[in-house]
Amino acid sequence: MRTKDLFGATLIVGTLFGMVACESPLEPNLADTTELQPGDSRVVELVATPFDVRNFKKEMTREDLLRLPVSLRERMWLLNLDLSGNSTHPALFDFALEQIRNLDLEDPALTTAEKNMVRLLSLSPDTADLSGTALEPLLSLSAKIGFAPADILAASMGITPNERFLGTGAVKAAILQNVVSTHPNAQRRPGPVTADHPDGFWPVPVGHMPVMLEDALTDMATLAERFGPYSDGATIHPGFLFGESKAKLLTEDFKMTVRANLNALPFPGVDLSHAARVGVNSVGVSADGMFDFNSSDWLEIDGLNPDGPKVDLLTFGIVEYPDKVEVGTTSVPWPYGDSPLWALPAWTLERVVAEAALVKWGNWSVTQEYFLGKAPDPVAILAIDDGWLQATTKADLGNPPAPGYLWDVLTEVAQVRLHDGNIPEGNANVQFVLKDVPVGLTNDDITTQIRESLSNDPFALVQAARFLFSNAGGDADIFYVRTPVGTDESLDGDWLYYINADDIRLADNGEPVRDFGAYLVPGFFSDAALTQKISATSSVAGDSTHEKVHVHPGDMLFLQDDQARVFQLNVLPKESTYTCRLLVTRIK
Amino acid sequence: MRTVISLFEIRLCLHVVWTAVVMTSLGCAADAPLDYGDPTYSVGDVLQMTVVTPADYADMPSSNIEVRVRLDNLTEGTTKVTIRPTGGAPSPCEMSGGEWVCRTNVLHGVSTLDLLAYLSDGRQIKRVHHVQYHAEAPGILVFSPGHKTTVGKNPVTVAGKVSAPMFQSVEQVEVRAGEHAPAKATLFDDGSFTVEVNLPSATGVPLWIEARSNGLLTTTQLWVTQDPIAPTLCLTQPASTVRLSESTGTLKIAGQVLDNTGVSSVSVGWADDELSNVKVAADGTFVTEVALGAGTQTLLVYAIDLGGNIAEKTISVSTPFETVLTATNQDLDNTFTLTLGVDDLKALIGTADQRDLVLFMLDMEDIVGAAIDAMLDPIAFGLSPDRWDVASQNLLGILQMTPETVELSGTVLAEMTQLAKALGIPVPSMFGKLLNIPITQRFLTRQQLLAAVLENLVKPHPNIVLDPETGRPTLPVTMYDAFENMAPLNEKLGAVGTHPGLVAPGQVYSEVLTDAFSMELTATSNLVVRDGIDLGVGKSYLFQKSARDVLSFDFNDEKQFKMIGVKDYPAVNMVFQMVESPSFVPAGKVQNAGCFFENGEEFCRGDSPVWQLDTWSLEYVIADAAFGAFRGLYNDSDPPYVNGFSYDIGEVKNAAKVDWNKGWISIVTESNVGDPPPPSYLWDTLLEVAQIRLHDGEIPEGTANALIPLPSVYVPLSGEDVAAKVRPMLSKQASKLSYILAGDHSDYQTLCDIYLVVDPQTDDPVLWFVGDYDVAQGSKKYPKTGFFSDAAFLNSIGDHFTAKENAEVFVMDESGDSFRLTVVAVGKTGVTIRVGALTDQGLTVSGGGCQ
Repeated sequence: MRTKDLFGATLIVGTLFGMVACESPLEPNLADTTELQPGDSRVVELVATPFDVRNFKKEMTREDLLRLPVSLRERMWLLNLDLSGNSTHPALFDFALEQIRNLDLEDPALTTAEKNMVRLLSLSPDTADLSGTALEPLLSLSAKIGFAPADILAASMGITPNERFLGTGAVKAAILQNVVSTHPNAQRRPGPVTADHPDGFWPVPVGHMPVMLEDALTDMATLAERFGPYSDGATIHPGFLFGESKAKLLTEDFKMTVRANLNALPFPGVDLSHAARVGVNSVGVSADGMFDFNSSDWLEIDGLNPDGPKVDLLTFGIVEYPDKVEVGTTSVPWPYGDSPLWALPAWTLERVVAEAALVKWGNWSVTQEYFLGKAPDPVAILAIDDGWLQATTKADLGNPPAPGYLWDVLTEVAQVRLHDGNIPEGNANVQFVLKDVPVGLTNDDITTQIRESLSNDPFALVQAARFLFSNAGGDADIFYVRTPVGTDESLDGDWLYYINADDIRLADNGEPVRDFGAYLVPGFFSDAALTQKISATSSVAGDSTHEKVHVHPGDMLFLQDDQARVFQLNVLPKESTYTCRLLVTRIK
Repeated sequence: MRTVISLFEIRLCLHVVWTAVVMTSLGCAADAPLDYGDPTYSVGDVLQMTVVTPADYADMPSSNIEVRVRLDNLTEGTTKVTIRPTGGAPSPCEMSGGEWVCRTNVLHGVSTLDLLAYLSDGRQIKRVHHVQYHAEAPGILVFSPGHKTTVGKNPVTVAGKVSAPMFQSVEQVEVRAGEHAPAKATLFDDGSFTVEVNLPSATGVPLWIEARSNGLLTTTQLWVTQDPIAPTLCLTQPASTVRLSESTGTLKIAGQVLDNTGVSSVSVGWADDELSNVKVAADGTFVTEVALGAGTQTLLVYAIDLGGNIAEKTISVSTPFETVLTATNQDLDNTFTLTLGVDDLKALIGTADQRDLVLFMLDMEDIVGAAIDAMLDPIAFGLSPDRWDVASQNLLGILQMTPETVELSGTVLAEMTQLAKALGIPVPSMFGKLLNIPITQRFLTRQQLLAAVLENLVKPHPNIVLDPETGRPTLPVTMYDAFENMAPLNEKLGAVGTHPGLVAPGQVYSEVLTDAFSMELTATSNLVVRDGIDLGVGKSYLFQKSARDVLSFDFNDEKQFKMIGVKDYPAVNMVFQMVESPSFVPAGKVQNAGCFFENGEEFCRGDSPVWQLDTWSLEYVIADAAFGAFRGLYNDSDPPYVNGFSYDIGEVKNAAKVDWNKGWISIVTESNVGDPPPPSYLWDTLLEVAQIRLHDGEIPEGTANALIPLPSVYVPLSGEDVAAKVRPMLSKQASKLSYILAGDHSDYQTLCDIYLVVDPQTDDPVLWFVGDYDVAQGSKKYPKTGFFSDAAFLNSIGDHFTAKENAEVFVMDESGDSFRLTVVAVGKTGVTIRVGALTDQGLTVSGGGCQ
């Protein structure tokens, strides 16, 4: 194939290494640019000019990064944002939950369901209204015989009357586990294809949200799209972020400065159709070694929001199950019993409440005995064994509720309270608009995590470098590599590489200018019928992705290009160590 | 209230449960951790770590590999260097000749090795290196335990993975601990293995892991130490209870942890949130901070040693909090209704209280009358007197005795028989004429007998209560009696003190209540709950009593008290008992003895010793019954109570003359007509007859006690009658019932220090300090009672004040801790109060630390 844009993208080479470029043997073969016809032959001389540059410094500005293909920006993993903090380091969800709990219930923007949810999150033994629940008769009676219902609830649950049933830790854990981490886009992120990850997707830890370059460049406007409603066949998730999201992590002056080790000059290649010398991008041919991740300055990040990372606007929501869910009647198996609750989708509000309660009381055991008058025996016993509540009263005073798990009890309370105000079952979905929520990280934290992420998964960065620093010229079918002296002696010498998909030039939109799939029979053969392959992808000089063949003067090879033309290559006698002269003959 | 907490490891549990939830949701068992590709360690700021040997991706001849590492240009010291193959346990490297020598094992193929250098400044340097292994011998990767690690339990689980060259497999994995015999590991299809091995000693135990494949053996050795001793955790800041005057900012936690084998981690956090690890210095000291919140929270500090043993500290941290005190809702229905069956009542009311709670007074005349009816006519009542003992049969004969059937043989009256023969007059006729009754009429009527029994046998019984209005003897029937089918009456009506009892032991039984018995009772609670504050903690509550009793009842209201299921006319099974005097009682000889006046008329009993006997003795009852029956005879004669008649024998006039004077019978004969009995009172005469007859059958004197079995004495009470009797009885005992059910509130305790009452007149919210009338001990436990206007507690404003917005007062709790109270808001239904300590307390531990 004939190129129209020879070395159009070798700007860095041209600017930095102008002296070299003037004397470069990689001048276009202007003598004869016609396309070879079957039977035509032409000699091409390739000169190996490796110019390894170390710590080559290059800035990628916000503008540069925006020029990257969207697919690449979406592929570039910056960090897994830990949404869950702890007592010493609160994170996004700690702050978000606190903000929800402190929402003004007089705010007309809040729906009744949302107000109910706010109340539910702050529900304590003191504020619990258990009317309509199985506990109501017992607690109603208790107040009349000298036992404060709140004291009973508090003691049973190991908290004080003022203390919230569902503390931040438990609610946060349940939401992250059930709502966030069940979202397919929060479960995995794109990453390198490896034997363990053949589909190129890597798991995201529970409670984390993968942040890609595209998210950062769009001020997180992409979040609602990525973590909103999801439907893919049988996989359905209602989403947890909705509407407009905004978090200005990067300023307009944002830039990533990398220091790369690369071959500054392209590999000498041949466009077989014209027997023309062209250049193959030498940037990022192999990610290995391009960046020295052990170096402290391999990546510098500047231009993060000086105000520190925080979410300016976020709409977080949870949906409830359409029907009322009955509580279980048996304790087996712990901790689920036979409640249909656990068959609900994990992301439902009911499940979140239940799981939060389970987190908190899963191993809680206590026995409370209540005495009346002068009776030597307790009039009521509340016994909780690993969360299983059994209330017994003398003479069935107060109609003690049937035994059940505390999480079932709390879920029942939640279901009743969430529908206060005559909200129909299934309509208590909530969405909270949150503003100015800290993420619990500093810019240094962000920088460190990005550096670490990119060092662990540099693929997209390498691709970005290839795109931005490409020194490709023309559209080669093969290229010449002279292995460095000092490596395995048997591998020393001249090699012809058949290009692979990564060697094809990228257009401005980031898409390859050609379809590598058009190369039906990549590789070198010893026969014109292309039946006896003599090339392999075996490891040579760190490369194990290209079909390659070790050549010597006198060798004869056959190969086919992307237009199904078949060529014969004859390796001619060398004129110097770093040259490889080929007689290219189109035979078909 | 009594609390038994069997487990309070809530914080650890949170982790356990959470882990379980996560693992469950991910649908995985205890697999190796997922590789998220995440950054795990921070990297040093300069290139300082170099792998000397082998080269990157070097092909290793053995699964046991050695990597030599050099650290250069360090400005900080290095505490340790570890090597960890991906998925495996880290192993510590050893310094040798200026290089760190790291040994570990790898599987077949390319292995990634994480080399970590821990700098003394806390930073870590990580370098990733690769090796390849393709030889024929098996490869081994150990998951746990790590080399030179400490385990907390014995036996220890050894887990890992083995590999073999392509198309081969590992046949066996064995683990040997010290000199113990090797234990064969369970080997799974993917090459992973697990086995439990017992460590022969606690320290420095070598573990050999051996994998065999195709005749080739690979062995790797680990050294493990067992540590069953938990670390020592000492805090210098804060104390176990912290009280702060501000709820913002942070709280500093500092301390030291010491352990015999080494500290793995120290973590700190609030009980309801995730804990975070804290950096521990070489000497075990640590320091961190947590963000404060409002109210009382529990802070947890855990220290875990290398063996997994845990030491923990729990700290209560209180900061100023706001709480809403709500006015008592006066509109709340304060009643509750209980529907109680026998078992329910038994459960609610203890036996002692059941015995104390009288349901109704059983009129003994009813039951004794019914018993006498049965005794007098046993056949009619279905009884079988022939089965009675002889004494009882004799008594039956006595009770049924008429002038016609009287048998005088053996008595002093036997001579009367001779006299009668001489006179040609039948004895029955003589008796009938003398007593002015038909010869077929019993000497004693039912009523006469009943009156005597009630008066002499029943009423003297200590458990009998005389009805204050009627004077009739009654027996309190308690709830316990009813529940026990009247069996307790055996005791109640049995021998008490010197009284021999009315019934023979062990025989009283009557099912008074049916299975359908239930009592529906509506109670009104007189407890008023007040919202209050426990100053050092938070919300609290106070119950005040609005009436004398905690509970009120209205048993006379048919809607508030119903009792169903009481049997109509219940049958009582009993053995009626009358006990005779030990010796024969002779008749009196003196007429004017034992006299008394009644309605102006003098009557005399005579001087028979019977009147000195206990009234309940059989002799006394018979004598008194006869006395009662006949002393008033001839009251209408002139002179009253006197009569006389004579018999002629042929020409002998007045051959026998009989005189009756108020029961004193004197017979005079003439002409040797018979030998008249000496004069005596009729009752003495009848008593003698009874005594003689009672011992017919040669029953020894003093043993002729009558035990008359009465299997079905029907109490003449319907269920409704009983219910009607119960209402007033329970009404009288309402206080007692309230006390039984709910106590009297006299020992009420609460942690509440202050509480809210809304003045019913003005609707003003008033805050009260608890007083003596609120709780036991009341204000005595407080060093300063009431509210003060100054923080120095010099100016008291009394035990209550009207809450106005922004009002600020000062109070002291029972521990002497001082608090500032601020009225944040006053609403229609309550007030919002902010409570904060005046000074910070517990920030440091006096003499704290491990030294």
